[in-house]
Amino acid sequence: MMLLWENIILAVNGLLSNKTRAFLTMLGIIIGIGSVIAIITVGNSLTLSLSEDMQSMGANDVYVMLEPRSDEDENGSIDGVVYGTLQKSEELKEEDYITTEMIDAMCEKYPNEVYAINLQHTIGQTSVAVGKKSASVNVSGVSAGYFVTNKLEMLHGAMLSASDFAEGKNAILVADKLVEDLFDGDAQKALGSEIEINCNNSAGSFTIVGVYKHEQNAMMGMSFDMPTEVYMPLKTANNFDHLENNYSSFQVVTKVGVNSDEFSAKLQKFFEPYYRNNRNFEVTAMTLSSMVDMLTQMLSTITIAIAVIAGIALLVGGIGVMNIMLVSITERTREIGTRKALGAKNSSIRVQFIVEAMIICLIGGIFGVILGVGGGMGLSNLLGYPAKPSIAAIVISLGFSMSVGVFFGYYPASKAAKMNPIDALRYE
Amino acid sequence: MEFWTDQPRGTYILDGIDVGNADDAELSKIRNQKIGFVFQTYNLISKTNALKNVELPMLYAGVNQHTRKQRAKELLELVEMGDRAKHLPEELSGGQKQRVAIARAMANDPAIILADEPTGALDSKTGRLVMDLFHKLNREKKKTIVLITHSNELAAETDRIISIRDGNIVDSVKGGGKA
Repeated sequence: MMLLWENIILAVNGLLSNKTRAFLTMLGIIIGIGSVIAIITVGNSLTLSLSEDMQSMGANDVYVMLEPRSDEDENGSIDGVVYGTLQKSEELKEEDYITTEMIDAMCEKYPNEVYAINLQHTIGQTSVAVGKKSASVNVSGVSAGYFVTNKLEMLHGAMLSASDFAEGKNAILVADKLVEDLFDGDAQKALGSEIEINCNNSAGSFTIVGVYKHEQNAMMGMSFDMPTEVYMPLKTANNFDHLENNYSSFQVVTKVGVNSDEFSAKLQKFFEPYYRNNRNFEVTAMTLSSMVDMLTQMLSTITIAIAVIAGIALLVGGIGVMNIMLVSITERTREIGTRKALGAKNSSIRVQFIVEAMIICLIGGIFGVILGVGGGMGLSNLLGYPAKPSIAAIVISLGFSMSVGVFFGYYPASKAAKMNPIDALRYE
Repeated sequence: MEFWTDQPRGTYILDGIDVGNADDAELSKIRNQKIGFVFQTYNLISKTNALKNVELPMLYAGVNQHTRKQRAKELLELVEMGDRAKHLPEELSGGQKQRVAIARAMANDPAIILADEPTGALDSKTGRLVMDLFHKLNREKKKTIVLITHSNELAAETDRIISIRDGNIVDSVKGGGKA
């Protein structure tokens, strides 16, 4: 034990007495560990902010969507694969869409599970004008359930009412920003006003019934001409757009206590009969939490894959350490001989040089961690994600860098240990 | 004089141990405990001060830190290098280095001190000091000192002179002694 401590002091003194060489030797380890830590830090931050974002969107909701049919049930030949890839680029056709009838049937079958349905029919982006003033808007029709998952803070006026939804009235909700732009912020003037909307070759006049608070997107905050959302009842939108009640996806808000993972499986089964004969598309139902899990998993796989590639730098660094250790033992052959003459066992010499290699790698590792955490946090902040260095990754990296030291130090150390003391002492 | 290699013929037994058949652990113990080495080129460990150099054989023997330090100090006092304990080898003169090396050879109180041309790299004045030190160790500490030299003058100071030519012992006589 005390030999170990002496060895550590010896190694540190040795490194300090030749700082340039020590630094250059460590550089490979520093870069290797640094890049691994930086990548993991950025990956972690990304994963964290992603899952936080998505959790806040309601993890227990079930998403039902149309997806190109995977060709697993085809014959599986190469032809099938080629055919399958062609299929993926297939456009959604009229008969592929999920219809209102299907959704109604679903609601009837699962009254105890379905709390609300969030359907959205995006009409498009356009510009609306009052007098000489104009503002850019995204127009969409939504179901009542939309507001269950996307809570709006109403500032003036009222929500779209049940009768608005049922009868498809020409009522709209607009953002406070639009009121600012078109009505000089006078909400009372805005409420009840009619505005013309021209979009997708359709035109109509709509009454503003409510003003909601527009959530500033942190990243888009600077661009002042961002379009705001204009919401109208789904039925109104369908009439406006002369569109059938067809959807490519929707969101089901489940009632409290419903196991949404089980329910999503049920929903998938429910839609199967409708698409049994559809060669191109099928319906997939999944919960947000399972989507988050999938995404997180994918992200961490990518992170680890990149980190492993960066780890190759560590390998190169380790080889550098081995090289310097070999030079070092050649230079210190007489010292090794002297130590043996004074009673050092082969194992004492081996331990001495392995400790030296480990210290080089450990110090390099510490610098690398500092560099990696700094770089990773800087990069995360730059990308606008909260930085989160992984403690586990730091500990593992330091441990790993020490094992790099042991691995690449072992061969030179053994070479030193096996030296014949007489030959070593005679070495010039 | 090869204490650590296989002998081509015969056996060499030191203090009851068959050196020819000893393993690394036994051989390093012999080098550590029974023989103190003094080299022509001093062979102090660089970047390590005089005190630590003297402690080194005790470190390999597993002596605890306190005893190690205590004994190393005493030994440096013995070779009149007490005031240079914290100096690095590069800060010492040849004679001073050799005295530290002798203190180091004494560290584990070995029975034999093997000195290979210990004054070879020193001028005659400092060489004299080193030789006086050997005489002192021989007389006061009762150490057997095996001194290898080409100098007949130095050989004449010893109790016994064994002459070796081309690897063969050609003569063995009682020396003048300087006791």
